[in-house]
Amino acid sequence: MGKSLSMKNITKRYPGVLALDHVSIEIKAGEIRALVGENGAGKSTLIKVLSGAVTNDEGEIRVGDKVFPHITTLQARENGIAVVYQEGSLVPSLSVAENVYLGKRFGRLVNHKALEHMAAQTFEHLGIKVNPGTAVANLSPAYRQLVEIVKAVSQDAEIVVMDEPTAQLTVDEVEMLFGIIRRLKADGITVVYISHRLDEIFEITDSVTVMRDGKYITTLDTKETNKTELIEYMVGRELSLSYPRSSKPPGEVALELENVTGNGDKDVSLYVRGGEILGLGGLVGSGRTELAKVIFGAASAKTGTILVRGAKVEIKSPKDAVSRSIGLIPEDRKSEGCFLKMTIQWNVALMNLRRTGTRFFVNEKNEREQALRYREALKIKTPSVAQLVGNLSGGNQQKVVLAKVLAAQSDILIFDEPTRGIDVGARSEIYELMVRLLEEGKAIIMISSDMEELLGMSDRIVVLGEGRVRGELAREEFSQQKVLELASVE
Amino acid sequence: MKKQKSVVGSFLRKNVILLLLVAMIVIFSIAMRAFLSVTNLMNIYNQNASLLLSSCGLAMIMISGGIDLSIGYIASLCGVVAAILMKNYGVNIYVAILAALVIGAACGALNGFLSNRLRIHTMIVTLATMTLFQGLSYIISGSKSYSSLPAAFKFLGQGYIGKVPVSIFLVALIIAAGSFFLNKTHFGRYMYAIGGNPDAAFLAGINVGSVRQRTFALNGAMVGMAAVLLISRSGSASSSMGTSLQFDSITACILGGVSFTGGAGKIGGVVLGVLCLGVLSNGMQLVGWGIYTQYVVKSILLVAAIAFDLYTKSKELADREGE
Ligand SMILES: Nc1ncnc2c1ncn2[C@@H]1O[C@H](COP(=O)(O)OP(=O)(O)OP(=O)(O)O)[C@@H](O)[C@H]1O
Ligand SMILES: [Mg+2]
Repeated sequence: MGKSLSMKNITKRYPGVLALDHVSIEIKAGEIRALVGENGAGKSTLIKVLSGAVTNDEGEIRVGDKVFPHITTLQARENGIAVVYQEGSLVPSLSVAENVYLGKRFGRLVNHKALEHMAAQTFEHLGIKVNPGTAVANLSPAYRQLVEIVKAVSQDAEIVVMDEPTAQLTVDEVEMLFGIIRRLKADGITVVYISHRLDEIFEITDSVTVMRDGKYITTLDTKETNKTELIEYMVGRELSLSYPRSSKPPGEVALELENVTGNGDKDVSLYVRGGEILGLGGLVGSGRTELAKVIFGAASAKTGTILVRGAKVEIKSPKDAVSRSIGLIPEDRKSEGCFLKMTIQWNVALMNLRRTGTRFFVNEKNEREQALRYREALKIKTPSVAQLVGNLSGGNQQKVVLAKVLAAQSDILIFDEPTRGIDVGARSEIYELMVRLLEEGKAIIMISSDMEELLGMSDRIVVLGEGRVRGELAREEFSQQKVLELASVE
Repeated sequence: MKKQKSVVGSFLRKNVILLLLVAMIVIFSIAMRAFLSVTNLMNIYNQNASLLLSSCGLAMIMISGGIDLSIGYIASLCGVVAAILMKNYGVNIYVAILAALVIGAACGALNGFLSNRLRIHTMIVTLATMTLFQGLSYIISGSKSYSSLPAAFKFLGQGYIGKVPVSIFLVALIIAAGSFFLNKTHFGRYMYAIGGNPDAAFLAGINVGSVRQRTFALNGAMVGMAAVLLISRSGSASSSMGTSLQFDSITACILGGVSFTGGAGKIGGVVLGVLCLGVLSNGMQLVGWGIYTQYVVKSILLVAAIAFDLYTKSKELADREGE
């Protein structure tokens, strides 16, 4: 059975940041509550207070009928609180089963067979197809996320908290996740659900709490509100929900692939022109990220040709790609995108040392100005660009990755899930920015699992499936159904 | 409540090495009047001049995510070759010094090359090449020791201008250059990048292998210079000289806050680390503790430093968990 939860007057300060400012929320047992707000609003911090990962400076927490001034991780676990963090906590080298039962003791020795059997049952119960014996390292980010969720749920949880569980998932897996949540609800378990994808909130939650700048704003009944109202509460102003379009027609072909095979992709041909966005659609595992890596030289193409501005090129490494003015925003910000131990300024400068400095030397003053410019343009929420990237909220880390690649001023940009974890307000800033890039004549290839974004921003969409091109759609033909049909044909 | 604790905690974590150094200096100078004399302070410097250089070199390697266990035998090899060139072949001292630097750089480049080519961790590679360099050093020296090196050469390590050792200028210059290099050049940035997150560095267009190889070569040259100072100070060379440098350099780097897992560290910290080690050895000598007791104390210090590094790391992780 689920427990009710209430947090009163929770305050948390970091140097220069008031992350939580007397936040109070109350959640009934068995309720599914959404938590929304801009990047850096304090959502993750609030649930970290709840799980004991962060200690609140003020306030109290009530779980069921127990009251705590602060809660420790152990107390949280004992009281049935389970958290699925925004970023993974799985051990890649261990198997799925071992990860799910990590930290739970069953006698002295590990009985792998028994563990796997138990895990298999849990997965089946929740309707997820994954072999419990595989190492987590071999799973796609989406499946890792699902395993993460199962891990949390399997610890006799009474309150399950999910921090952006769908950021890595595409339509299919989101459905699986919703299946899990519905089952939890049927069991009477309380769920706190954080997401920047508002559609999901309307589909799955009972009520929604909005936070802004570390403050509690309001709680609404999901049935009695709508997107526009919710966004207004989140950003504190009205926001247009339409996708901006470039005013200029596309130019010459900037990048062309002819029969490219390699890294799991087979016989891919496509092109993108300056001034247009080519969207890549497909399910997880369709070979989109793999293709991006081939184009960028991070994985090698076995056969086929790549042409940049009409000239055949050999791209053997990302270094070659960068020198040909190609930029990649990688899919996984934590492992491939940012340097958590370094400052924002340092990260943003890394790919642009020549332009801010000289041939050999760096110029910290220019780097600082550059970082300040991007902080402004991408609304990176931080008191200072000397802040370590590791101290930023998830969405703001993603913005730093964007800034780093944009600062290199490449002509051909590959965006792999560019707005993952970024809030609605900042999203529209990023779309505006992309349009500005298009108007400067840059070519953009965008991989996105967010269907609305894919349909809204692309000029053309190429759909991949199992590493092959399944078809191409012109803007007039765009529809969610067409993309899904192409993506799932055998 | 936790907040004050963590602010004090983070100040302590950041400055623990400085506090340790100050504490040792206070204790030793109370215990022995001789400790704070100019002669003794110069002594401490002299005993650690080579270590300063090799530690700075190693710091760059550790910042870029590697480790070098072969430092001691690179030094041994460089020292022996330079001495033989001067003694047996009458080579000009500048050429001999240059030869030591080049050989050091070549050894380092070999380490980097093997690690890149075989795709194995630098710890394993340098464990293997350590024995290689050791073997080469003994073959070349024929297990003999080469003494009475040219006076002009010995001046580098033994000479004084007033009360100040000549080499201090050289060492200070090299260390300042190293620090400048790490902080102000593209290459220095790349060292931090490949140590902090190699995958992200690769996707940022950095040639990770090349940066690693050049870092190792640079360290090799630093070690070559360390060897030159070492034999010049003692006026003789043999294959067993300099071999303690690797252990001491690793200890100094870790004491000085260079992360064992790469991506973090400052030259300033490393200098403090060396001073700590130096003050400790010197103090223990003055108190009259034997060399083996000193080993025990140093190793306790190393374990403590590693534990502290891990503790700090887990602290940072906890602060960040879930992001
Ligand atoms: N360890 C820390 N040191 C300094 N500031 C921090 C630290 N952790 C969080 N913050 C700051 O606290 C604020 C709230 O961050 P939090 O992670 O809760 O945001 P969020 O609402 O989860 O955002 P997102 O949607 O981007 O995940 C941010 O401004 C962030 O920079
Ligand atoms: Mg968050």
